[in-house]
Amino acid sequence: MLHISNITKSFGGVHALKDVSFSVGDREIVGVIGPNGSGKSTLINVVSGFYRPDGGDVTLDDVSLVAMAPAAIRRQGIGRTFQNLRLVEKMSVLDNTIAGYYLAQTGTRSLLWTWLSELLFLPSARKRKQEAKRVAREALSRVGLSEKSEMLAANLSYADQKRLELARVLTLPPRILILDEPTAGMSVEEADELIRTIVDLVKTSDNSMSLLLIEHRLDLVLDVSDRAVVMDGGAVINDDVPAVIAHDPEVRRIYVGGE
Amino acid sequence: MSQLTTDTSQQSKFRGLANRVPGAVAVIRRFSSALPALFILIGAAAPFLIDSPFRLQVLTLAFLNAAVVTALTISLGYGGLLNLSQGTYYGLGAYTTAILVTEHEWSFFTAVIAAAVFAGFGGYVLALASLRVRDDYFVLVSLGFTFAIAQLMANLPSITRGREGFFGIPKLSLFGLSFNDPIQAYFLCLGLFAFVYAITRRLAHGFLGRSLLVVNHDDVAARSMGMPPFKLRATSMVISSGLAGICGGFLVGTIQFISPNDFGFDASFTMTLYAIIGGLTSLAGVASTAFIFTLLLEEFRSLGSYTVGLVGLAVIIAVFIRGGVVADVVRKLLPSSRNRNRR
Repeated sequence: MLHISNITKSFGGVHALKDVSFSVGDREIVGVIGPNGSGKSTLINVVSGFYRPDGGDVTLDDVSLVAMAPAAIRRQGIGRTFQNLRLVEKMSVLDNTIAGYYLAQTGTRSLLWTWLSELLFLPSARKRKQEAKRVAREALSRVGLSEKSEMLAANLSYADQKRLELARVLTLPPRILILDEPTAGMSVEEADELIRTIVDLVKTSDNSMSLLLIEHRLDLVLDVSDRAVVMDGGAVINDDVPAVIAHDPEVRRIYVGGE
Repeated sequence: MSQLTTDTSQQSKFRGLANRVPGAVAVIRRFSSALPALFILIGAAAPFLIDSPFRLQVLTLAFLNAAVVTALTISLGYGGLLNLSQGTYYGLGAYTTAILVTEHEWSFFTAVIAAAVFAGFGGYVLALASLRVRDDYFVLVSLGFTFAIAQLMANLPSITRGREGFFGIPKLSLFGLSFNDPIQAYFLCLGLFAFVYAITRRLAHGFLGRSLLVVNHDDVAARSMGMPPFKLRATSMVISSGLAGICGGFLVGTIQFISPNDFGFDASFTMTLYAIIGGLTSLAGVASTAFIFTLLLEEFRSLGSYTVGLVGLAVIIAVFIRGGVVADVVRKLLPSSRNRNRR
């Protein structure tokens, strides 16, 4: 489904990505692990269109994504979250989610017409509003935030804010969900619970959703993923099932030797 | 209690007020959504209380100004495009209307629609610049745009009649109300203000407003959610400038004389400042700021060109109060549920 082939990217003299290739299949959970600076976040930024690679290609169902803008890539079906929180703190949980739905729609509609139809109280506008609310509530219930939909995003706990970001992505169901260190800064219990929710989401999604999970906690990744990709110094050094990765001496060197 | 921080002392002052008249504040809070409507109703009674036609015209212009600046909140407050060009769109609309009704004998209604389209197109042209430049540099581009259009208005005598201004505009009327009767002109402009306010409010709470707030808050997040930023910003700019164009048409009807000086840097600059003082996304704050300042400046006309300086001073004070002076007072008095949607 998602094929990343021979991606290279450098910033000035720094080679952030060197010939990175791997793929993500249908309903597959692929974990990407590696130390800080190994190129994980750069890779996501290339896949989601925020960076243009110097070479190589990214394809989703044989459609090349490298020349597309981030918004277009999102509509192709690649949804992502960021390492840091990117919510509108002063909007309610529900409003944040609705905004996510609306934003996903802006790319395909004439905005002037959308605005006019709303202004003139046309039935289509009312239908859209109801649809937005329905989709948003459903997304919130899938991440377990139904009870808190009227709270301000700022007043949520950190773990719940991460869940809210997840709900926002789900308003336009992605084919590939990319999560950049979703559990960073959480307690072990919170992290485990969030990962359980995420894995549940992928396994029970109506459409075939795959997960590309960037994590620095090795145990979590090996626990939940079908395959793990190990990166170091901008290159993929191993790509295999978790059982093999767990016993890879190179991985141990990076994780245990590095600490 | 008041020693904790300045912020809590301010709040406790308002809370003290609320304790003394709990009933009144509760009533105000309950009906806060009806306040703008109430304001317009009071405005509707004004012509029957004011005898002087001059004072009535000042009020008329105050409502016109409030309408233009309210429209500016769409591009400036919600779209986040800090621009100094609203006066230019006002002018584009005014000149389009003046030329069409005078030289081509269009009806006022169709001329105003053409004015909205033309000014909206002007907004689109400026929005194109936001593709290339951002923030401070965009302000400079919009400043250049403002100067360029003002120069065009002054130096194309064959079309705009040049620096002397546009005389000889016929008597105009809309929906059976004539601009020549001060009271009817007043009601037309009051109606326009109500129209623009209602449109802007609906936009702010709907599809576009919410999307724009997110884009404004976090461009990267918005793009990652599938939003093309230019499309959204350009739409906000077109709506905002198109509404300014309509207001420009009403200006032509009201004062029957326009000159390039009315739409230069000073006009655009003060409009942007009003929006900043009023709190950018607080419609009630922005509209009342523009309204009150227009009345005050008209009152102190003798100060001449110092007036821009006075507005500037107000901005310097305003930037120290987050979200604008007026909006801050409104928020403290009326912490209604709707305020949570504002920045």
